Amino acid sequence: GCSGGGGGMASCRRLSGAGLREVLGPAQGLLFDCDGVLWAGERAVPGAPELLERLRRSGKAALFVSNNSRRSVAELERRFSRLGFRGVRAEHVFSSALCSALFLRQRLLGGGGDGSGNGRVFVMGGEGLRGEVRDAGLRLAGEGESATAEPVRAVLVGYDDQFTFAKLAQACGYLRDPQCLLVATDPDPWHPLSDGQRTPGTGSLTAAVETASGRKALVVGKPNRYMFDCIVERFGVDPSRTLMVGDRLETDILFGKNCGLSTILTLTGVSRLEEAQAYMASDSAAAKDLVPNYYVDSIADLIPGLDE
Amino acid sequence: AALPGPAPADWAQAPLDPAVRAVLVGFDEHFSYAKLCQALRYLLRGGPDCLLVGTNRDHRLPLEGGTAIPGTGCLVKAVETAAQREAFIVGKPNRYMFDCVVSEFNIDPARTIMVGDRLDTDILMGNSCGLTTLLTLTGVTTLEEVKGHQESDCPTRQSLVPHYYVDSIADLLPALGE
Repeated sequence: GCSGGGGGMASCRRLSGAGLREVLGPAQGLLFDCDGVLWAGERAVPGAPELLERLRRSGKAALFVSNNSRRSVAELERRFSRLGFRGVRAEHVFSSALCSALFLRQRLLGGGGDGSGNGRVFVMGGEGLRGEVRDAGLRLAGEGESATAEPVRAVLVGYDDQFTFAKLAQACGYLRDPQCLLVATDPDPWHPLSDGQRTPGTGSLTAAVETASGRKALVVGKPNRYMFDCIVERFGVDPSRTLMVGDRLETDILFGKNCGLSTILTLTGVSRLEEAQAYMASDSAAAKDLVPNYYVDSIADLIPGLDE
Repeated sequence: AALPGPAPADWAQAPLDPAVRAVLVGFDEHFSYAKLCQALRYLLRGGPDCLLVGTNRDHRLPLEGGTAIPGTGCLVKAVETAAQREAFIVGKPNRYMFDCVVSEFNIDPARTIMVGDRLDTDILMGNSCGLTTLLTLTGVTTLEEVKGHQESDCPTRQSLVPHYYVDSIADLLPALGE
């Protein structure tokens, strides 16, 4: 059945035939990673829009949890629509950009402050990330400050394709204040490009900031739990009736394990089946947590598990 | 070489130099995401046939007045994390540079003193290479730090403890003949 990923070791079984109905039947909802699961670059995974449509018709919830900190949830809503996915609204989408902003709002404003006198955030990232931080009611360092500007109370490291040595030095200056938080949107070391190459991820930039400052970053994104807490707060999901679907063992599958969700690995993205099997064969307890309960070649393979 | 466009997707299309067989990371005040991208591309293209070398792992470079700027170690860590592989580090505390000195100058470690101001580079290298180590206090290290390592139970921290210290290398003058 669909019991939470807590008890017993995951065994990476292919999900097909009768197994599909047994697993999907009891599920109230599915959490999906986006890149490598729903789409690759500008192309939807074939059958993915139909899967979401069938979930809707079956009365099952679909929510989205992504470590990608480049885009605001408003941009993501437009992207879903552009790539052929119907009915996905910004409120269904939990990106590491949004959740980092929520995290900083909690820590700096104590949840609900009016933003005055509570410090600024130095954001190392693009306009999507900066916008989410502003929308959370926080002020950014480097925007209209005066000589009496409030102190910088947090450095936020995200995906930053304009990262430079100068910004790194600036971040370290702020982090000399032990009260200044160091937060990272996600730990991903690299992301795939559509031609098989890789582009460096937030994890590599965070490593530079940690090394220079001697501090460890608080990481908002998967595999840590915070984004799940945001989902529960907004939608109240029951982990024992919710499935996590992702393509990256070290983030998506471990996230599922950490949050008590059963996990499904899809093979249209980063991780290969051989990697999951290697983790399963490993002696280390940490490796076992990276093994998914189930796998499919593509999320389109889930469609037969839903009622017609 | 100029980048072919504003975004990483463009940078990943720039032609790679077919002759490149190593990525060398040193102190680079012009370090950028674009350079990190290119480094990653060379390392992925070459696999084990493309070396990844770092000049050193220093976290910080101290400036006058007590401030510091990020050190080469930060840039090495960024490349290592993106490429998910470890760099060969040339600088202290690794022994490669000592081996270079030995091969040129026929040094006897038992009759050689290493003088430095950093415990985790100068003193650690000296100790690892069998030299007598002398800490000078005119740089980044305080005596309190040394005492902390000396009193700890940790063997790694013990290896940061010098044999001797002076307030300044000028204190060595009286020991030398007229």
